[in-house]
Amino acid sequence: MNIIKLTLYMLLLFTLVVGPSCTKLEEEAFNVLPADSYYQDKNSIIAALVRPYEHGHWCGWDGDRWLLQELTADQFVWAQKGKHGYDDGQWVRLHGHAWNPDQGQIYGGWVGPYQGIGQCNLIISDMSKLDYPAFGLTDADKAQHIAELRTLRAWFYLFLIDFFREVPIVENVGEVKPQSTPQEVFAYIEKELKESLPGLPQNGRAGRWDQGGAAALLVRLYLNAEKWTGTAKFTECATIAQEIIDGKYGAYDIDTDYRGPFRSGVNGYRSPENIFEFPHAKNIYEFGWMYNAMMHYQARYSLDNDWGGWNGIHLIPSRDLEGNLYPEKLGKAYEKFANDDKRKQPFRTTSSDGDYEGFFLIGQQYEFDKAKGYGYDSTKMVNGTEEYNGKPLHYVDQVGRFSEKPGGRWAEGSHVTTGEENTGVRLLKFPWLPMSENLFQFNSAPEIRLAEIYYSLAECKYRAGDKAGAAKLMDAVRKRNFPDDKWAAQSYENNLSALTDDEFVDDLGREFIGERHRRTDLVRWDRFGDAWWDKPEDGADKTVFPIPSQAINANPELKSNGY
Amino acid sequence: MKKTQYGVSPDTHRVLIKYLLMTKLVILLIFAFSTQGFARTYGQGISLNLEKVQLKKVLKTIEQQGDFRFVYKDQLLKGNQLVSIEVENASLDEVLSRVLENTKLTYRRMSDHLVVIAGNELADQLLLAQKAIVVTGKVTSETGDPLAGVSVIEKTTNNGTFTAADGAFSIEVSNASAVLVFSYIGFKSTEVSVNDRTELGSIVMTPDVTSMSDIVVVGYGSVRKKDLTSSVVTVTSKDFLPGAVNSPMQMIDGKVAGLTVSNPAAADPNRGTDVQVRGAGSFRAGNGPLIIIDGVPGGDLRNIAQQDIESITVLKDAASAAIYGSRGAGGVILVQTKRGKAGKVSLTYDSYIEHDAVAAKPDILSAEEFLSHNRDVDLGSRTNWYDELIRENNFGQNHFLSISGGNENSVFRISGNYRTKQGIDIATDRKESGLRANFLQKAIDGLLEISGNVSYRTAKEEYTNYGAFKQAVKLNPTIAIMDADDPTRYNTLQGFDTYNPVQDLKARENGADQTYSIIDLNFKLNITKDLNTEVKLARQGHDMLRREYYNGKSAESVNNGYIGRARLQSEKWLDYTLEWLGNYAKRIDRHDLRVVAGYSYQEFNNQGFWSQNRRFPSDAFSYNNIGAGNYGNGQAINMTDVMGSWKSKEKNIAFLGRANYNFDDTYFLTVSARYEGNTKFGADNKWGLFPSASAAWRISNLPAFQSISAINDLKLRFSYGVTGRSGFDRYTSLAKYQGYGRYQNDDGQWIQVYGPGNNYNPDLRWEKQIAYNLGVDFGLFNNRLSGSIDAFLRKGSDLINDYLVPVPPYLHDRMFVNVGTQSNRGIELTLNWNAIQGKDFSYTTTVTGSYIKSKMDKFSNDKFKADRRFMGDLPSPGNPGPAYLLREGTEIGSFWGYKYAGVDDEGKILIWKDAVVGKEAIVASSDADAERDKTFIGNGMPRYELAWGNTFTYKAFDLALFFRGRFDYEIINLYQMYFGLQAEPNVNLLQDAYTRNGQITSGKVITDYFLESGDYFKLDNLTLGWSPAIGNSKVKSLRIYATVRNVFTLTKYTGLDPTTVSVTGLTPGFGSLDVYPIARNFSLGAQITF
Repeated sequence: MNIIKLTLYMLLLFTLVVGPSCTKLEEEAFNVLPADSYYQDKNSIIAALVRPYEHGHWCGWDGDRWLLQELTADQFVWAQKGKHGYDDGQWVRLHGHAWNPDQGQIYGGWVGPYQGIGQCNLIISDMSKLDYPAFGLTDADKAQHIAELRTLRAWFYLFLIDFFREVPIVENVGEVKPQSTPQEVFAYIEKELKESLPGLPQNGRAGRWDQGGAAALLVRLYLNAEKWTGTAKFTECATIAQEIIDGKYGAYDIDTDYRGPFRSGVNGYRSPENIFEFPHAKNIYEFGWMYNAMMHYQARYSLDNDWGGWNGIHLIPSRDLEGNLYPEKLGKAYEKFANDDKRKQPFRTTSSDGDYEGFFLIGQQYEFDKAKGYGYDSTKMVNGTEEYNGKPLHYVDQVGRFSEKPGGRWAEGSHVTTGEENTGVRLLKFPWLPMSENLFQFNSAPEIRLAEIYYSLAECKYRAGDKAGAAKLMDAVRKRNFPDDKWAAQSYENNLSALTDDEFVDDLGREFIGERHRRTDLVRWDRFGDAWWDKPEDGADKTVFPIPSQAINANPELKSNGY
Repeated sequence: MKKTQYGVSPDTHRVLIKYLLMTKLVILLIFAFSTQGFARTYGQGISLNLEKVQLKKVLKTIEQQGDFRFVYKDQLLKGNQLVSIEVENASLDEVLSRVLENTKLTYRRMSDHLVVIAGNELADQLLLAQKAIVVTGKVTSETGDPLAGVSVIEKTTNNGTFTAADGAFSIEVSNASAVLVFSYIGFKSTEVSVNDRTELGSIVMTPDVTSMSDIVVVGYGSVRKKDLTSSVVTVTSKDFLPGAVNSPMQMIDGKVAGLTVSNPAAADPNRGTDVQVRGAGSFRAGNGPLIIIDGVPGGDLRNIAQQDIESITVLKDAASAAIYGSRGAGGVILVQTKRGKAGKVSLTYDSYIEHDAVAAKPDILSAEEFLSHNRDVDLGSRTNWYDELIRENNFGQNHFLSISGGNENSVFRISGNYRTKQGIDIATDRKESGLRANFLQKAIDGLLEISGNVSYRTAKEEYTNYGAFKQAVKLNPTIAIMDADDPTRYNTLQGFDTYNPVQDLKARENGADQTYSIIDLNFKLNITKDLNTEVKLARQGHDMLRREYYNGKSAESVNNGYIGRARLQSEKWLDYTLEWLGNYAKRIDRHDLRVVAGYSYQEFNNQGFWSQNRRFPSDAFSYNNIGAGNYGNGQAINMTDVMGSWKSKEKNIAFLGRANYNFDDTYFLTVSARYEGNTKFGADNKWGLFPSASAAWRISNLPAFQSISAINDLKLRFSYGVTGRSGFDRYTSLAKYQGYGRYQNDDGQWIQVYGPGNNYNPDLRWEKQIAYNLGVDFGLFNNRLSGSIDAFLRKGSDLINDYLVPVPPYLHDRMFVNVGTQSNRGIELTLNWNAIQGKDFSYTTTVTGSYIKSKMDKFSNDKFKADRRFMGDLPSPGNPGPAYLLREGTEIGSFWGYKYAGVDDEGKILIWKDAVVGKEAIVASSDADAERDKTFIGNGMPRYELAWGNTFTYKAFDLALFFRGRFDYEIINLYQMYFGLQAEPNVNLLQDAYTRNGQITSGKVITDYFLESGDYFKLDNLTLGWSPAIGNSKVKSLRIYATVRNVFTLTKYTGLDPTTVSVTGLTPGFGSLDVYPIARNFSLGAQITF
């Protein structure tokens, strides 16, 4: 046969066989889901709906946003502990209000909420296009889902207006927009919450926005309106707070137990006080960052779990190296609590069912009593691993290089940089219960409690001159913190003169310690620039964070907000 | 000249010589064509259908068929009877034996083409000449210079001598028609027939251009080395660095200028090497070269035994790599495995045994010093942690056997090897074995050629943990290894980043079973003499089973109160390749044209799953009964904690073409293009074009140069090409929804949430690299000095990086985009010098050197902005920040930190304010401001690399010394920062803490004090070999050798060894804390060929 002919036939055959697939380059997806084919059923809609909530928990209770609210204020610090925790000086800067637009947490304060906003925008846009009945859902479901996401988006915007004031309002995916004024941002949040509220259920599921939640966000918005926009809205705040308390948006009650709102989620308990909480479950969805950020490496032996801990954040010291209380009004977070206050007790578990007492770890640490399943075994001290390697671990309400006393760095005094491994009282308000009893990491994160509505209304009244009204509301929450026989001495109603501006600020601190409130509260009370412990008085206004340089670098539309 | 008439003696010999010469020319031509793979295969059958014709007519007819020519004396053919013959595709032997059957004639094939028909008289003449005679002469070069030490050997005998200093020789040969073979390194071997003479006069030897006429494999074809127009370097097996290696790339380390081979844990047999061609330039698209094994792109070097490699070729410039398109920007490495050869079956046994000795240990405080410096409390024991991790009596062996052979129509080669290697530490181990076979079969009279490779290799790997060696340095040396209360259990240590390294390495199994396979088949159809087409099909497979079991004595079991955690992971990679090429070659007069065009389809699949469990009833099951554990112990578990699976696929499709044109072996031009697409690229940018052009001019062919005897070859090359990088993850450009954490659904059940997974980028494309190369190849002084110089400029653009994008509107603050430009420029030099070529002694030396500078030119474009990028975060504790900063215009690998200004009275580190030396010294720990006071303090990328090879031979002995060095760069020595300062509490320290750094009492900050020059020069390979002449004809060759690797190092670097510091990638010169022991390797090997 003619070779050339043969070859031609072969080529033709080859081209026919191989040809059709020879230039196709579409990606074949296996364990990834292409966006255009994501929505398949009801479950995929719900899974997308709750994605921004899941991000919301991270945004609110994991890292930068919490750090910006608490480490810049007068209750918490991440002191350097010997060789650990200097971390390029970032904690020193947060404490000393010496940040610049490159500070990582400030960028986190920007990007975290905006990611949530972007998710809400995208999923709202997806849902608007979906034919819900075709997926076995109703159009009412659709309206509710969109209302929930708009509320959640407003919650994300609250971070932004609080941190930066002038931020872009973005509702559409892929849209680059310039900044809006604080007033525009405020008005937008107000509009979104008011429009969404009617479409939400009352007393909805834990971890989902409902009418009470949306109304509570309006309370937050109005309470801070003066600082955020220059126009006070205390009247509006009081009105809606009163409506919430009156049950207009659902049934809520102040928990009778001071621990109740914080052990919501444990053993199936749901506190009637919690208007919005992020639920948790061990191994599934954990309240993990805060454990690690606050707990010592060895804390697992006293608290009974298998976690590591970074030994980072603790209370600002109440006492100097000689043991004297610091003279500044602010700070001294631990010693602000009265000795009769139940919350001031050292944390200990009192039953194997998850009962416990106290909000703090202080003093000598003992191993968990595994035999009993609760409490400590006072014969087994937990030892340190660093400065107190092989020696008992004993938390002190002071910051200094006691392990080197009188030499070494002892002379440097008490600063963010002079901590050691046992430095600082540790917060255990969010109870890290025994893992061996299957109680670890089930507690919810209390995003908004009815107590906050009481305190907000009290503040409106206090500012309006109704001190008695304020005292009554605050006492309604505070009573649970004291034994009945000690209450009379603690009641503001009974001691109305005790309720001063300073006292109000101190009590806000006591009630909401660790709940990501403190910076906003200090700003609202004009005390954010004051001095405490290792922080001097601010030379300039630090109440607003600068627009982070990373954000400005990435977006030519953004202008500095002047800080 | 078709046939030649000749008379009887003495002309016979002269004529024969003429034939011989003629034959040689023919062979040369055949060689030139067949090696290009274009020529029609020689040796087709003879077809005759003749009835009663003269013998002469028969021979004439055969001649007309083209392959043979006959030489005879006319008279001999007269008077023979008429013959009849009818054959189809018969061999010559068959035909001639039939037609000469009843004559007195014999025939003799002088070559493949030339056949002499002889009668009795001729045979008699030849016989008469068998008488020993003495022959003299003188050997000179073309320029008339006498050549000394030239070997003169009577062909087909062992009889030989050498020329004297004046080039003269005298030799007694067995007969007057003997042929003398003259050989001398650097010159073409020359044969001279004695032809009854006793004085041969002056014999002129011409320079050997064999080294220049070697065939070099390039992408989709091969070219003669001397025809190269681009920067391509081939290292063949005879030039590989000898001794035990853990990766084939170690065998060419330093042999190719511009190729950086870096392995921070060279002694770990399970770790591959990092390879980089002409510097780094990419953030996220990969800086490694494309590996091509036997023509199949995307190969895995772990698939090959080192003894199976015939050659490694590095395509350095874009013009040569552009034929590989979007994967060629990091350079291309072509690996050719050994093939069988037609002829006698050959058997080779090639093996060695090896041992690693610790070459350097960290100089830390002894227990007594530790205590006397009050580092920490005395816990009673005296433990040398580092020594506890070392396996002193480690041993390795590598046995290799190959057999090859074949005939003109089929060749084969089969090889197998078995290797074991214990690591220098107590955990590492490797056992591997493999089989490889290849064949070539011609069919249908050479019309079709089928060839292929089959290879199968398994490896059992046991891994170590480099971090254990950091623990060994920092741990209190008075801690006991075993638990004081229970000597069967380890002392489980507590604390941040603190663990018992012996426990870590012993109380577990952590390894993998690897299986590699390659099957490739190549079908080649020789359509005409000038045109062929071939189809290649290949399947490359790799299966891995990762096995981990942390037993009841491991720290995690002890700390968490359970027995054991097991994890198994099975992963497989499966790649398919289909390539279809057409080749055309034509030479007309002085014009030589070769064209290749083709299509390439490749598919890469990856799939895997894993599962883990813990809390086992006992250690008995290890990972072999993974269901027997109780992971959650009654608590809910997250299924993603105990199992997972994945699958991905990538396709790469290309159309390619190249034309090589050469005029008169003087002017060369090559153009190529690849039009390529990949599934990974964004929907709007699936396809790209990668063109190249290169040209060369052999200046030495100019008349002016012909007269300069010192210059044998001088060629100028220039090339330009566009290549790409695409080593980013699959599905990067695709809009995806992906699972995140968990949240409750409407029924209160915990479900995985799904949301938008990435900032997808439909514009995402390959990184583009445009490169220019200017080179000179030269051969001087009879080619005793040869080499090349290359200068290159590479400009990378459209760099892929995860850029900060504005949030809002994007969902994530990083997105993969093509932004930014980067450049590498450098000079490379290669020199070979045959310095001494004596009778018994020779010395050859080779130098490769390179200079390179890599810069980040631009970060931003209109849409995506960035002005800097910090990299290389230093570890905890006390992480002092990132060590590197890239800004527009900075060199890659620039260190960013303070300028050290000494210490104050208290020993606190001082730094210069504003980074201005001499301005104002301030205390680093309290007064420094990173924004204000940090500056560029050094660079971690070696700008100069040098390798110097030396080979001495004396009679049967050879000695090779291979030196290597890197210069003009700094290393940030983390050991000095983390374990060299007294301020680091509790941990053990280097002696330097109290000597070299004794003045410092404060903690670490990134200053130039901790930067050290990384410059080094080391004797990396010392080999002594013995290749005795074997009297036994069964043994073709024998060689026994001993090699020491990493003999000594000259450096000022105070860490273990500068080679433990990676110099590739974007953070070169990072002196990590996790350093695997540095070994001096001893090996003893034997190579026997039968």
